[in-house]
Amino acid sequence: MSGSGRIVFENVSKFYGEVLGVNRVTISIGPGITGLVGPNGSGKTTLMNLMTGLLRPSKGRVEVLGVGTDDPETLFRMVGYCTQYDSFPPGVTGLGFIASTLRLHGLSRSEAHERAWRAIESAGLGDAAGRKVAAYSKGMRQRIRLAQALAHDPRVLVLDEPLNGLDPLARAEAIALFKQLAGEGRFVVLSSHILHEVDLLSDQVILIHHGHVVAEGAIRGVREEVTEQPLQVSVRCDRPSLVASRIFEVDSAVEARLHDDGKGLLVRTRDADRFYLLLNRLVVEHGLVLEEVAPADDDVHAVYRYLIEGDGGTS
Amino acid sequence: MSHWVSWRRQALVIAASEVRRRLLSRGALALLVLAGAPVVLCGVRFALVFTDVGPLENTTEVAYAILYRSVLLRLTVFFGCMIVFTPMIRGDILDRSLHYWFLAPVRRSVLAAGKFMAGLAVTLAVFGATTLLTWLLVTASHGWAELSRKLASPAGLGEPAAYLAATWLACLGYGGVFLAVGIVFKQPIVPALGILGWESLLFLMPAALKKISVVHYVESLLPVAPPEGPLAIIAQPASPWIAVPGVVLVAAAALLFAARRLRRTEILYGVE
Repeated sequence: MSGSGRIVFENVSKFYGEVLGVNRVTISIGPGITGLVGPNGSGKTTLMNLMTGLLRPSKGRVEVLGVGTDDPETLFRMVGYCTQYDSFPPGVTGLGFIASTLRLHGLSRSEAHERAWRAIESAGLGDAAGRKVAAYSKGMRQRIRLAQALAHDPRVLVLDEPLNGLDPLARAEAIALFKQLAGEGRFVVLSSHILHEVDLLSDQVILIHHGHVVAEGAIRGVREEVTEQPLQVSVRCDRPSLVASRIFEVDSAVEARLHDDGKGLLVRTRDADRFYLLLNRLVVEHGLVLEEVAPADDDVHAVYRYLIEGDGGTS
Repeated sequence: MSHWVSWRRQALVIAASEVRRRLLSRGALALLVLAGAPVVLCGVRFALVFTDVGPLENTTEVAYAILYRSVLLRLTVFFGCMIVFTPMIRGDILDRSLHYWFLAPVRRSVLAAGKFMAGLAVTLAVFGATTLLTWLLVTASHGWAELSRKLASPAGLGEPAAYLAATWLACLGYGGVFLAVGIVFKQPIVPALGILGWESLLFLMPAALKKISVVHYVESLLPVAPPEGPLAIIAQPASPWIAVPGVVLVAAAALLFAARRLRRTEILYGVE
């Protein structure tokens, strides 16, 4: 299997009895933040569980940086997984929970406790370290799971809905942390049902629907591949009606809609580059004053709508 | 660090963690009741029949052998091992915490070994204490002088040592079997009752079938053979040289089976 420096799924299918989990998935995930996007039950958690060996593929093969998922001894020295399962070993304290995992990494008792302390303090749970996890709030339990996934300093971080239950401050801290880790060249694979967070975070996305990978890649690239949906461009300028009147000179234009405040318009076009050339011409020839030109639907939300919800309408 | 050193260290960490969990779990109370009941029973008997007139009668030794087999071995150790070993994996699935073990850099065979070691540590300590205490209480009922005399002689020390060895061997054998049962069956009590039924009816079985059990080998270590009853088909007890390696092999096979099953186990909490 090629791509030993990547996370690779090669023709992977997973069936739960006769129920489809994921079907014929072939993807290759590189460093940076990769967002898994899809509705509930689409197969996001199944992909993550396959990536970490919690599930075995019915067909195909999964490798993480050249290591098979049936080799936990090697795999989990470089992988940390924050699952969605909100359960813990009975009676365990926050500190004990992380320290016991670190001891399995070969650390001595004192090293494990020292490192567990650091992980707990960085998760903002220093005061609760000695308390039983069962008495933690939902947000604290999420933070302790994150701390545990990160405590051994993994190269690959798999995060299933990692921002669930976190308050706004903790969310912002977590997002900053994920970006920092990705900036260090690590692999951060995360799922979230909050699309604007995925948009904010991800370098690339994998869209999953009914167990199939619908699209993958950088979000702008994915959007450009959805050719049956014209691109939407929002233009703020001093004379939107001029733009609207000239727009259909470009045969790829589909629709122009003036903004309610009369200071802009939304254009739908099958060829954004030709539209931008037209705008340049209007600026040069007619002195059009442009305030802002921005794609209006090259985000995860729009791609999700087009590819998964099958929405062809304008926003 | 060599693989073996690393695996041993990981198994010990797992075992220590599991011992704490087992001693803090609800099953610990049931374990204490099971282990304590024979001691209380013998304590009551001691209070009622204590006499300082010795010498120790042979009937007392036989009475203890019967008590040991019918209460300690068949009930206390059997169900105690079931309580300790079957939830080692099944309990983690039910409380949805098995994935934490699976997400650690640990071979699943090492996980199985660590959990088995934890179960052994608990059962050897608890049922070993039960065995020695019950033997002491029954033997001491004929007076302290008699007890001292018996303990001072080589044969006297050999008797409790033999019972202790039998208990430990039973923990090893049943432990392995119940660890495997706990991985395979969602309701381990059903196969456990099947095993108990089989072993209870073993006295009616021909010699060849008696060998397919744990209790046959364990009982061959007993210093005093308890009476079998009129319907029993008597078979030659296994030699200790066969009994001990035999049970060790059974435990090893069960552990190997458990490790293989664990390697194929997936986290499917929703359907468990």
